[in-house]
Amino acid sequence: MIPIVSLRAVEKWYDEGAVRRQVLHGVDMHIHAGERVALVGKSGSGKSSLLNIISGIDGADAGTVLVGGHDLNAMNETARTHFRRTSIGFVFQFFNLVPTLSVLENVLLPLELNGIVGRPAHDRAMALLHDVGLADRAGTAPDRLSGGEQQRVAVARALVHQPPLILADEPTGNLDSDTGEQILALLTQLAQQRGHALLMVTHSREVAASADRVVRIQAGRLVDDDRGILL
Amino acid sequence: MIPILWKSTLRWPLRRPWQALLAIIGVAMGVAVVIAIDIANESARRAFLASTESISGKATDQLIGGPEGIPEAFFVSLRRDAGIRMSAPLIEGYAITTQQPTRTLTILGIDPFSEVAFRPAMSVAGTPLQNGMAALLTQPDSVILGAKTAAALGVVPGRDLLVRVSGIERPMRVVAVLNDDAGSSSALLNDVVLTDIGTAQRWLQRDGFIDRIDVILHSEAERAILRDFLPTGIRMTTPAQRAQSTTDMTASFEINLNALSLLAMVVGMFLIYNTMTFSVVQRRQLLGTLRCIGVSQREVAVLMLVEGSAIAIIGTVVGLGLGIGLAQGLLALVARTINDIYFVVNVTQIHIGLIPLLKGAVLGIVASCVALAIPTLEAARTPPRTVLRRSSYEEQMTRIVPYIAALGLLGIVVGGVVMWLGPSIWFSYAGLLFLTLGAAMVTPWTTVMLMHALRPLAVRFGGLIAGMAVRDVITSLSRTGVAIAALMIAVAVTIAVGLMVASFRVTVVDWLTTTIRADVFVSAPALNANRLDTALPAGVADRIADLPGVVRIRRYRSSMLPTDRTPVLQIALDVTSADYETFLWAEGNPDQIWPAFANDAIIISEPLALKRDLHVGDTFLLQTTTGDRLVPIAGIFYDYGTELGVVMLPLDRYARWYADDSLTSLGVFVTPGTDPEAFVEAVRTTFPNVALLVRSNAALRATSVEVLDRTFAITNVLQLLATIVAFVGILAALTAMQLERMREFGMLRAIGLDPRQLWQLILTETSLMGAVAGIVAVPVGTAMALALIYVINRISFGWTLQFAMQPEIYIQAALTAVIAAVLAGIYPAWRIARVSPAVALREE
Repeated sequence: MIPIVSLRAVEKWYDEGAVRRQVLHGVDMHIHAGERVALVGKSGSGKSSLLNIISGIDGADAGTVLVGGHDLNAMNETARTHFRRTSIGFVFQFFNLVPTLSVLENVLLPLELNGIVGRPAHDRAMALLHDVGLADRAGTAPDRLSGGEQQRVAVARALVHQPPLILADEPTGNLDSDTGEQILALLTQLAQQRGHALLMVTHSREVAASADRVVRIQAGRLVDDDRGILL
Repeated sequence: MIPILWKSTLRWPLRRPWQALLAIIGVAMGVAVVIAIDIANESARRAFLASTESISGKATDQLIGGPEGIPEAFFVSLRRDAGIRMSAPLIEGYAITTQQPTRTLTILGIDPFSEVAFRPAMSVAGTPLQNGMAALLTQPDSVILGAKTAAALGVVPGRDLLVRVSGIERPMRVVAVLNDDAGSSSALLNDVVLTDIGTAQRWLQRDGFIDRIDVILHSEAERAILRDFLPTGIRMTTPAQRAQSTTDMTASFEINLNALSLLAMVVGMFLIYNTMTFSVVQRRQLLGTLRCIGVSQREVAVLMLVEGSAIAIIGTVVGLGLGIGLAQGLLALVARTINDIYFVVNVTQIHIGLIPLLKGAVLGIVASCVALAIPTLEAARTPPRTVLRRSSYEEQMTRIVPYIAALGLLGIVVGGVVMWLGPSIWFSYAGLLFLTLGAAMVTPWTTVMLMHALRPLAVRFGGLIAGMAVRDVITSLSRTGVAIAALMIAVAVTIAVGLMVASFRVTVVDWLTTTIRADVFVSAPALNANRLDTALPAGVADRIADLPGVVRIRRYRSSMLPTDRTPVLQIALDVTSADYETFLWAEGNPDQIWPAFANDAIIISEPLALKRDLHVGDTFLLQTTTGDRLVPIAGIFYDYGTELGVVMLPLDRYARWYADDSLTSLGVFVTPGTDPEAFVEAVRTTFPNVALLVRSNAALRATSVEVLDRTFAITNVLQLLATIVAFVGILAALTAMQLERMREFGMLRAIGLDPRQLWQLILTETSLMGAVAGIVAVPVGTAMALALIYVINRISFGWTLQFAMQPEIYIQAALTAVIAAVLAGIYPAWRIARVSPAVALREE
């Protein structure tokens, strides 16, 4: 089975003034369709850098990055933008909803970016809002919602255009534990139902526990790749 | 692009209405000032051309004479000997109504018999005009008015209109009023008093002379025959050429007004730039989110550009409306300056042409797009990882600030070079623009340096809160830097224009002290404050010379001298060795100038020399009544009386060359101990029935300074408008900036800062920003003033001014900056102090 994410010997450096700091050291990683993976590690260990590279937001300095069959290192910015539009769903720690759009419009946005408009788009967005329990708040502005509700909208937005890969950066980091659990359950359940691969960057044991596999990163190196390490 | 993406951006101004309003005000006021000046200038020009055109009628050519005009006998000869039947004599003058002293009426003295071919509307059978024409010949002091003028003055046929002509009050009997249904003839007489030529000669004290003869020629051959017939001293021109050379006189004045109005536009551009940059900075996370979910750089750029353009278009439309209103207000100031300095123009209503509106619209939108370019680029380049990698944008700003400053310094140097070496006034203005933008770019770096220097002092004397305020200015540099730069530019403009006006005033007052030495001045009343070219009645000079207490009199004959370009002021005068020190020389050696002047040379003023690149030893063409003469230039003197240029020659030579022994003004020197004001009264008593303007030395100087101040009235209004644009903009920008920090302030309240401390924090921060803007504006404003005084004024008007360093201008400007900044802090401080920390913390 061909993995949805395939990283081989990925390296990344950052220039910090006169100093060049290596943040990723020869990372190899594979994620398969429908798989739920938790990426754990201390602050500064390279989690976010890895997420940036997988999403095409940032480029690797060495190695191969294949996502959904696309070689991201070989793509220019325009192609990477198109890749994110079609292949990635994002869930952020701070929700990052568009404040000027209603709940429904936020969910419609990725569909319209992919050329899906009109009734089909509306129906699909409403169905997802129904799934996340917010169908009755479709016309509400995001700032009228609680944190948990905003994150549910963010989940719906990440899934609505059916990307093969969902990237979640600390999806429960800004929520209380009960709400966090609910969001996590929702995210993993919906991702599984729809067959999306899910990569979650997290510090949370609960989040990691909900994953099929846990990958630990330390000082830019993958040190464990196993379900049992945190348990 | 997809509709929802559009919504995400276009709804943003609705969430931050004060910011959108700020940008709209910035664009609107910039556009308003530019088109108001344009419309006012254009209205004055059109009013002048319309009156010239209507008075010229169907004339193809015009004959004009020397300073005294054309002897009326020539008209008879022209018809009889040259057979030019299609000719009409004309005399023009001005009158002021006693009911409306601000309304100037043009007296048009015509020969009713000759008018048919030239102004046919005046001769349509059965019209009131035709009946009136007969009355003009038979009734003394009779006039015809247009319906609009009559209505404005409240007169009807059969009633008298009280006017002042050449200083004498006299009644005019209205014998006919043209109704609007008389067609073009009514429009023709707008603010015109039509009378018989004989009556006009009597009123204007021009017996035996006419101003010009209109002729209709049908071919070049006919023109050549007439040219051969003309005696020396009478020249042929066309109505268009005459009007053009007159309106050309105001070119420098118009350019300067336009430049000042563009300065207001530049301040407006800064506001747009400030607002849009602020808007991008606020939205970095949102833009990053959009980029993450697949919105391309191009799409982000288009979104920002469209949003900015929408604001620009709304601002421009509002600005066009405001500008039309403003034009009405500025028109009176523009017309007064033109009347004071250049020529008589009577303009009461604005003409809204399509061109000024289009120019304003294009300028508003283009300027906005230029101002939008950098923030748009910044928005498009917002990296998607902004959302994920929470790197500090402010750190990035701090890193690039020195490079921006270096680029700014380069801009200043380029500006200086362009200004110094540029061949035209437009290069000077371009240089000034570079200098201004360069200074703005250096401002953020200067802010950082000043804040670093100030922090230890602030902590020591103001405690931790003051220290926090200093630090906040630096850590929010992406927002504070642009706001401080915009405020600095506005304050610098205030300083520059203030210093320029002060320098001009000081220079002119010094010059008046040097040149105006006589104790009493006598002249014939004139409408144009700057030109005393109305002849004194014969014998006045001799009778004044015989009055007790007179040591000597200095005689002058001023007239407008036509040249191949714009007319110049020609002054023929008595010069004795006692008068030598009244001249300050820009070029030439006095030991050689005076002998040459007494022999065959002339002296000219600095503006004339600079505008036509003339030097001592060159020659100047004088079109005299006795023929054209190339006269050597002996010296170039400083003169601030008129930018049109002055030519001076000895009075006796003038009398020979122009066959004219009339005088226009006298300088009277009285014995020491004689009270000048008492002597003024003595002169008035000697001539009880002669219209004379008699002023003491002090009164003349005061009047001259008053005229000068009137000239700068419009400059001051424009400066004030630019300051208001900046003040409103800065106020709104700083207020918006503070309101954006509600959450941060809520946090500070939550950890224990009381409302008083918050007031202190916010006001300290905004006052620091105002102070930095004020401090940086001092050198920048001074540099701009030096550029205005030594480069731009010299190129456009030809004046060398002394630089007047006036501390009160700096103090006033710095206070403006600090007050604007402090006021900007009051509302946020008041609001945050009232809001509970919990609510403030929830603000997003």
